[in-house]
Amino acid sequence: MATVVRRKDFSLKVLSRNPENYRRETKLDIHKAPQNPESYLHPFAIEREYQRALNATKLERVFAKPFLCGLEGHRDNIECLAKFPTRLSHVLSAASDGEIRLWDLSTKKCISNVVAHDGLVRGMCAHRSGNFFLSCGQDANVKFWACSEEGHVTQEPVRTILNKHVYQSIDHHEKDDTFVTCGQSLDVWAGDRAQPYQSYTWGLDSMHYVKFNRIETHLVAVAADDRSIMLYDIRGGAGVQKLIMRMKTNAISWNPMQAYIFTAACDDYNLYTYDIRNLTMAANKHEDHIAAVMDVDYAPTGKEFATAGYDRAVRIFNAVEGHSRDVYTTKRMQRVNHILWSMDNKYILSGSDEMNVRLWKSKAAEKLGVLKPREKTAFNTAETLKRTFKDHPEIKRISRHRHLPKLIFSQRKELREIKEAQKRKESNRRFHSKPGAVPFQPERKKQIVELKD
Amino acid sequence: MADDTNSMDEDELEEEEAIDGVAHQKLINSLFALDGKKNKKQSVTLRTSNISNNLDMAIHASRDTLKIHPQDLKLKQKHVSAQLQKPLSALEMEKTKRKLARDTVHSEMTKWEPVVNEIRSATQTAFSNRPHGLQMFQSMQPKSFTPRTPLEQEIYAALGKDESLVKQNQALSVAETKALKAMSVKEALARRAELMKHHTLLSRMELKAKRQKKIKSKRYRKVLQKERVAAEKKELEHLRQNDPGAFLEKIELMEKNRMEERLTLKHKGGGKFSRLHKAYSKFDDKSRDAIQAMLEKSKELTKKLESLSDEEEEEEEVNIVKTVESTKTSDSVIDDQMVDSIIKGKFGQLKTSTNMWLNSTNQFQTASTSNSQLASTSNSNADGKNPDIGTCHNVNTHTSSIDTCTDSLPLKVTENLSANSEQSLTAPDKKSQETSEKPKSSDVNVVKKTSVSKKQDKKKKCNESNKADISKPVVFLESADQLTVNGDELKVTMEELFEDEDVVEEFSKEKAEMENKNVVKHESKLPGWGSWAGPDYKHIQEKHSKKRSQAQLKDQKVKKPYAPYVWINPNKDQGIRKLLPKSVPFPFSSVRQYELSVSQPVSRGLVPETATKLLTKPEVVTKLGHIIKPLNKEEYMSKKEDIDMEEIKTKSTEFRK
Repeated sequence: MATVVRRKDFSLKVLSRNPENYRRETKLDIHKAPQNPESYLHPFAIEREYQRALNATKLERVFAKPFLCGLEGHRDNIECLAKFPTRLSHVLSAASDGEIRLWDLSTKKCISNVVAHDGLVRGMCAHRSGNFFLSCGQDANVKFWACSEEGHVTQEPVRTILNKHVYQSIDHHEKDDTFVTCGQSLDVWAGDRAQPYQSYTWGLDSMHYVKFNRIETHLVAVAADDRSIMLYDIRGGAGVQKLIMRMKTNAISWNPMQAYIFTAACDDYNLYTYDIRNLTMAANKHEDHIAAVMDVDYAPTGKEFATAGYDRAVRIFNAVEGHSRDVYTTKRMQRVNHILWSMDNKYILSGSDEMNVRLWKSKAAEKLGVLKPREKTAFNTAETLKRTFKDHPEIKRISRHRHLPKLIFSQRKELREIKEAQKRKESNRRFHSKPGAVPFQPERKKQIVELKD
Repeated sequence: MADDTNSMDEDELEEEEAIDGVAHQKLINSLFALDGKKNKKQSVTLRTSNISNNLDMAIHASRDTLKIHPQDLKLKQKHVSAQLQKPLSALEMEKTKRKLARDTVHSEMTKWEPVVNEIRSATQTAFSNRPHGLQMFQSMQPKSFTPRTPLEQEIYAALGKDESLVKQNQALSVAETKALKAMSVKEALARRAELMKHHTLLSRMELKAKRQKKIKSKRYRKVLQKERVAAEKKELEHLRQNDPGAFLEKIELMEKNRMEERLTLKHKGGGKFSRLHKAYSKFDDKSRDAIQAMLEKSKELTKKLESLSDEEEEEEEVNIVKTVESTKTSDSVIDDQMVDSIIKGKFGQLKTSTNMWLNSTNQFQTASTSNSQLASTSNSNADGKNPDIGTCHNVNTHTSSIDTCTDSLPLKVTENLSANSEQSLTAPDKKSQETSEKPKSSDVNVVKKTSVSKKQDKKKKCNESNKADISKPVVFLESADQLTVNGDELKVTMEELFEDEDVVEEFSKEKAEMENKNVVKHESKLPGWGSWAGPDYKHIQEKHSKKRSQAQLKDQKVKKPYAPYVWINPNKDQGIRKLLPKSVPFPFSSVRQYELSVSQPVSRGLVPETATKLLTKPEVVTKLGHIIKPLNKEEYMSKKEDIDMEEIKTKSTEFRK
């Protein structure tokens, strides 16, 4: 008979895994896939990343649709735009027929309109509280308007100040109940007074643009018709400095994060960023427009600014770079005179000659609305990859490509040739003259004529 | 205290003196006026001289009055210019003001420099001053809501007057209070009692049902079942007579259930379904037949198996143990098995396979394959032999036991074959038999090894892997043997190998061909004149291309010639070169630096999750619908001033010490 073999140390080994390692929490979750990040297991990591960056760049161009809507309703040229310091959805616009409109950006509709002035509305700004706004017009009046939380503007001004001269621009102090107007002179107004408590003049030419510094709130930058930019300290009795450039400055914007930096939009197609401690030379020169730059506004982050060009284009610059990162155009948009960057860093508004206010996204390919965490990480990764591989020719070509109107395209080419020719001429002159007779002058210094103390 | 009183006195004195001074000045002025000449210089005499005198006096007063030193007296100003300088002109005044303003602005702005530098160098900036954590508020009553917008007003008009709305400072709404008032105590009590009764009844029923559900008595269940079946029968009968349509439907349903049952192979008579069917079979011949068939099938399937398989298994286990001990015994076991199988007359296939195995040379690779063949044939044999074996486990162990012993098979099997089937061996077969004797010693080793592995595998009880384990080491050993044998024979020089081919010349020919292909031809012909090439001919482009081609030519000349037997394809990297940057990008100073910056992967899956999060931090973080305000000076500067003050304080304390 057969003997039975008894296995004493019998043990059964079964594969056992912790279900947490492979089971997803809900059926809507993605399947868990174990991944090993050891570098030797991913020999083509960089190549894959390059491909991802390339795809992300392509997708960015696919999704780059910056134009959101046009705010229609004005019956004349847009004269100025203004934003509220306390409201995101409300924006003011004024036209040449003296009408002011208040727009709601969330519904993209005009909430209320009021005929504010006889003739042009020259300047407009919101009160620091956000419940009022001020306007000055061709009829030499400065008017205070109250507007409710819902955006309804009272049909009669709260207060009117009658003046002898026309004021061309107005701006309100960031913290105090003070505002400045400029025209024949720079006037500082405070409280309920009917007369300015301080008045500055420097030279005979009138001033057309005024802007308060947002951090050092007593500093004011003024652009005057004698091609100058002036700095005033409203605590003192006299101006601080006067810089005369080759061409007129149309608008000025202070950097909201860097107290001593401002950018001036100039008639010579360029923008100049200055450090007010040293005005003998611009800190940066921003070129790309092919006509006069009409307006400039910094993003609230202080890292970028948008410009309005007479060349029918809106451009966006990185504050530290010499050339624009993006350009927005539409077929029907005429000369852009005014630009605004919204306080949440998401939108840009442009006011142009053909009576429209346009709403743009500040990042052309950005997805609006709430992002899921996974979406967020995906976007962040794509952004980082694009940054790392941005110098690779294929990616560079795709990310730089814009379809521009023929005018801008050809004009830019022409301008480039002109610049090259000028450079060549200068270098030739230097080469053929006595050493030191034609000194080298940096591009950032060329526009400066004189610095008056 | 004495000092204090003294100083008070001095102040008074000073004032008197000052007044006197003014009077004196007036007097002088009037004198000038009398004279008729104007003081052209409009000089203003200093009052300070007097004051300084007084100060001297004061100093003396504070001291011991008795001690007046001569040097103190000398301090008196003898020749003070009694006139101030001319005041500045308006222009100059403005200039100085401007200078002052400029200096203050400059110094104030320079204070911002560290802040600005920090902002500029930050890798990530988050713009949100939304408060984090807890915030304490004083408790306060919200203001009463007043509708403002037309929509709000409309809603309020529609809903605000609703009685069910709870108003402020009121526990109950109007409707609730009304309802409370409407019901009297008596009624409410009666209603409550009624409800309670209903509730208890319900719960009792529930309890009863639960209890009944738990009864395990077979008898009880049988009785219940009987009752149910009887009821069903009755119903069916009733239906047959009154409602043939419904009856047919019922029959159809039953047929369907039957089919389902058939599909599931539950061919037993004791199921609920079959019992029902038995009941219905009275009326239906078809179902009766079906039941009969079903019963037969179930009987066929559930027929008890013979206990032969069990015995066999035990035997084999013993056999396996024996093979571990010695090969001889295992041989005998195999013999027994062979004999068994041959007796049963089902060894034809096996025989052929062994023949095949014998015919082949003594390579173990083939042996292993024949092993597997053997296994498969024996498998099939086993299947054919007793189909009643339900588990395949038995069969597998059977085959594996054969596997382990096939190494020593050749001789014995052939002997058996010659003995049993009286089949004479052919000449080549004999040859192979002789050759197979050679590696016998190694075979024994292998068997030992395999038996060891077999031991391990028995624990695993995984026969499929078992086979592989056995065959692998065998292959390895044999192949190693082969190598040692062939190593000496393979010692042939390359020259000998390629004696009849002129490889070098062929290569040089090919190389020259390739080089010629890559050479850029220099266009020596002149551009045409007139408009030969048509109006769209671009002279400039040609110029450029010419330049380029010349540059390439230069490159070719510059490149060193390789050794004659080397050819490096210059176009190999052309594809990738197009995709790489041409020069080192701006912030980097060397290629190495730039490569390093690119070489760090950031995507998920290539680096750990946390690393991805850290590496892909966005530069700017903003919150949706959140206003970004400019920097607040107070937040930055007040702190620093505090620090300054503290520094001063510490310094002063040090000073005192």
